[in-house]
Amino acid sequence: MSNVPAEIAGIGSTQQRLRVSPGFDPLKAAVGPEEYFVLSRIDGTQPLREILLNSGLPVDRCIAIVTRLRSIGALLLPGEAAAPAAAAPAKTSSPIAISRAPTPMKPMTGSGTGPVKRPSASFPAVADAPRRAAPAQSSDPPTTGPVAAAPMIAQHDLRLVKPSPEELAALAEHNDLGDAERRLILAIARLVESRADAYALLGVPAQTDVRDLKRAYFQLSKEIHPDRYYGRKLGTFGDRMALVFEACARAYARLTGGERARASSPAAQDDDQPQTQQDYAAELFDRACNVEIGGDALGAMKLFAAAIRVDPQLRYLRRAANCALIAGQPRTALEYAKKAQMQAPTDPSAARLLATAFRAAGKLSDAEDVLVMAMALKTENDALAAELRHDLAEVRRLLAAP
Amino acid sequence: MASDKVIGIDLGTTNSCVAIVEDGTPSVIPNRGGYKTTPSMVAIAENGKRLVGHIAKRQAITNAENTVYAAKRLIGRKWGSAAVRSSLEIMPYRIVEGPHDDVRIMLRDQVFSVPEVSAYILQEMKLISEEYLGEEVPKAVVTVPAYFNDGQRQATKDAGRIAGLDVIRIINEPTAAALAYGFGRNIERKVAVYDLGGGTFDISILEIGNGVFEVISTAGDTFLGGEDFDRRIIDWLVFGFEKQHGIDLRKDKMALQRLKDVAEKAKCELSSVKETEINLPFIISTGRNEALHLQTMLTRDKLEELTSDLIDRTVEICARTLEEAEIQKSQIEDVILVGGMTRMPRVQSAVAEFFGLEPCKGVHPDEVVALGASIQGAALTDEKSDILLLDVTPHSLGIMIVGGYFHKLIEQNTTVPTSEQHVFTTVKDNQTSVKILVLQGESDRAEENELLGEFVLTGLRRAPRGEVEVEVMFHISADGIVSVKARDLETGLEQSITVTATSGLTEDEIKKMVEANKDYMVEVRSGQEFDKARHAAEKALEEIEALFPQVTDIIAGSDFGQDAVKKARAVVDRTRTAIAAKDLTTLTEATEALNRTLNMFRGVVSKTRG
Repeated sequence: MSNVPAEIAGIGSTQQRLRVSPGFDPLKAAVGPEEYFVLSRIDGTQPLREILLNSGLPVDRCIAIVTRLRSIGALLLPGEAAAPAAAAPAKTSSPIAISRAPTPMKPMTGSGTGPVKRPSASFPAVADAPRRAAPAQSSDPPTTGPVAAAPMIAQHDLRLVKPSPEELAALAEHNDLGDAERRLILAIARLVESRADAYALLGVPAQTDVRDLKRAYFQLSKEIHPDRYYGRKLGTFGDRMALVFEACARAYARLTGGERARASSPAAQDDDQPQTQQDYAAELFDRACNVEIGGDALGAMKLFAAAIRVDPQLRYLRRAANCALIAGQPRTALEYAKKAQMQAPTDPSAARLLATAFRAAGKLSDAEDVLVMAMALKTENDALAAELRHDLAEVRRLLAAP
Repeated sequence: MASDKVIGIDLGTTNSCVAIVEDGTPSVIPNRGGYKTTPSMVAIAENGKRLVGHIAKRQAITNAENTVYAAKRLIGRKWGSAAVRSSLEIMPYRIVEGPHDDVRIMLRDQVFSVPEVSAYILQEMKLISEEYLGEEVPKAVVTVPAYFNDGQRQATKDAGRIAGLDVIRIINEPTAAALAYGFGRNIERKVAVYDLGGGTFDISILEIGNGVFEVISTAGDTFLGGEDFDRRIIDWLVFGFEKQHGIDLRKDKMALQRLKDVAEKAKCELSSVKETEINLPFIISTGRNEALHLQTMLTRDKLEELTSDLIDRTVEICARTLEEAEIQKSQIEDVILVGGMTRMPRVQSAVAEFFGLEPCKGVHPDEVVALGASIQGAALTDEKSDILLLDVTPHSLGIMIVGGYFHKLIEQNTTVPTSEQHVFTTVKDNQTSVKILVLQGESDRAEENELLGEFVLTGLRRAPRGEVEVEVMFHISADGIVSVKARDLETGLEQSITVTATSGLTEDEIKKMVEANKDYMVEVRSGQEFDKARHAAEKALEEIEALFPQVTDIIAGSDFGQDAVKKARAVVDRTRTAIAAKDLTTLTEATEALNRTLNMFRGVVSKTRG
């Protein structure tokens, strides 16, 4: 009991009451289960000492966790308003149990911007929001044609000022591409590497409207999509082209919104937008998933319940029912599974979940009824159909047994 | 030298169509009968001959058990799938379980895989185009419904391979339709493609501009198509007949086949007339040696009543697709109708009503998909083409994570090529390996998605759980090939797979089928020659037999005469043996000898007469 120090380096007195930084997103920071657990104890009313003593973790370990949470900007000292510089946001965490941002598929040389490893190829736009307003530095004044009134076309700087040895080799390489084609791809590759913003990547001025963006993107696609070079020898440009096109497609998707944009870069939404009820529920849900993956199914259930109270959507109900089964709460599972099935009465997958819940609750004949019904609902999902058959056989076997 | 021409094939559930771009213009290639579409039917006749297309369709009534139609519903399917279950009930041919949880079809005691059956249709389309072009056509773009999963696409590619075709790309039918619609027109608009074909329904939203076709969203229902409309008519007929005579016509395979034909015909007719007579004389015989006839009128109103829920379902799917893509109905500037079913007036009016605009009438619903496929073929291989298709991945891709959940890495409807990576960690202390299960689908439960492949990354450092990090990278190439790589971030150790064979056929099996089919091609061609030779031989035999008595009378008196008659007999026998053995080489030789003898016989007879 007495081994809690009076002070912790970098934080100060253990008598202080720490708060969780309001802007801190445990999902983006991808904290581990223990860190998350400690974080959930910090409520601004208990002194740090109490938390260290009651966490159930060895005090040293707990101190290390608190220190790390503090270092990634999760914790505020009394009187502090904003978090100290936080680590770069990571992509949504999850699953086998997650840790941090992905690293670039092919780390490129000569980038040198910032110490944080970020996948420049795949998430070019994620952290660019603040820079969006700045004019596209790297795409410089267009070298050809008048800008005004002409239909929007993508303009990239093809001069390749101070080419790297790698670029020189690429320009000289033996393949079926022309000089201008090579230069365009190398120029965009540079932009990808330097994490230029989405507009610059597409070679258009900042704040270009959707219609012009589309035109520019379509025109650019005609020059950098691998299909346009089908059957031609591309040398090292094969990989480069895929990389460059993917980055541009992502940039376009992000700028033009729509479901795909959000799906591929969940962090793209503006932070200063007020949080809606749905957002709040989504956050709770994501947290719950993380806790569940961390191995604490019971803990996760509380968060799932909270998320469902705010926004009882199908996805949450399904996941909560699954988690309840893992947590050994068949009655709760059944309740959620019933609600989910009511929302999607013709979804065989929802029916299967309900049957699983019935089975767990010992109601075998109910499970059989639901499965038989689910089998009648045709699905193009072969895997699901096979699972249904398997489940039904199993339930019938159990029913036949004395 | 083989040409580098690429044909476009619409491999349909009920009909198939082939097209090619020549001098910048896409056109449909008619088959030998002058028809632009060929029934997707394959049959094995009583003499063991393989029949494809119109010939197969013509004999379907009398040979229903050995005639395959709608094989597309089974391709790439698992034995336990709903599609196979329902096909087992309604198809007159025998469907059996294959060795890899796949499906096989049994025709006259011969077992065929579904890709093989589809290969025969593709081969027929290949032959049609080769006859038309006068040169070999080695490459094709083949279309599939947007909703086909990886296994079904792979199986379709396998079918191409068995048919001796290099399928350079598989594209979605509605996408192909949009290509044909926008080809050669300088348009910039958002369009919807409503594709109600023989077996499936698809809806796709595309953005077209400057020769670029971007797929925004695509969805559909694989259990909704023209055949469901036919079945409603059949059920109605069967029900009426049963009420009148107390006999269930579905129990009689021949009657069922006739009902199927008449239902399809009536359905088509009702697109242009208000009512049609259904007349099936001698549809079935009662036990007392007395035949019953089926005769009734079907009106368009009745048909619409019977099928209104089917049409409603397509409209619901349209609404859902728009909603998911976050597109307003008002943003759609044109609707393209594809598939024979869209000829039905009620379908057209339902679509017009939903979108609030008259559907585009400029494209031919049966030909547009093949035309689009040929356009994509040219876009890939012809440098003069100025078309680019920005296609999307039809299903989400991801891996299984702890708890049996499916973690998506690439969302459906993402433009390809694309790649995505994510860092995962170990879930157990001292875990030294991770198993990566690559899955495709939309369910949050891993086991409810299609397993594309799996591999294990070993050699991880022993450490507390959560400490060792593994990065998983997904890549989909422009031609839809999925590759997955996992890397231990500490050691840099890597393990990867490229998803390929999931069609239910092993590589060995496909190779064997490719070989077998080559033999068959040789057999068919030489068979035709043989038929010619046999025909000539039989004619000669007939004549010689007729002359035998006369000739024997004339020459039998001399010693040489006896020998000559014996020799002539031997030549005749040899020819008959060669015909029976179907051996072209022996037959050619024997016929030569036979003709010599015949000439001699003719000479003998005419000399005597003279």
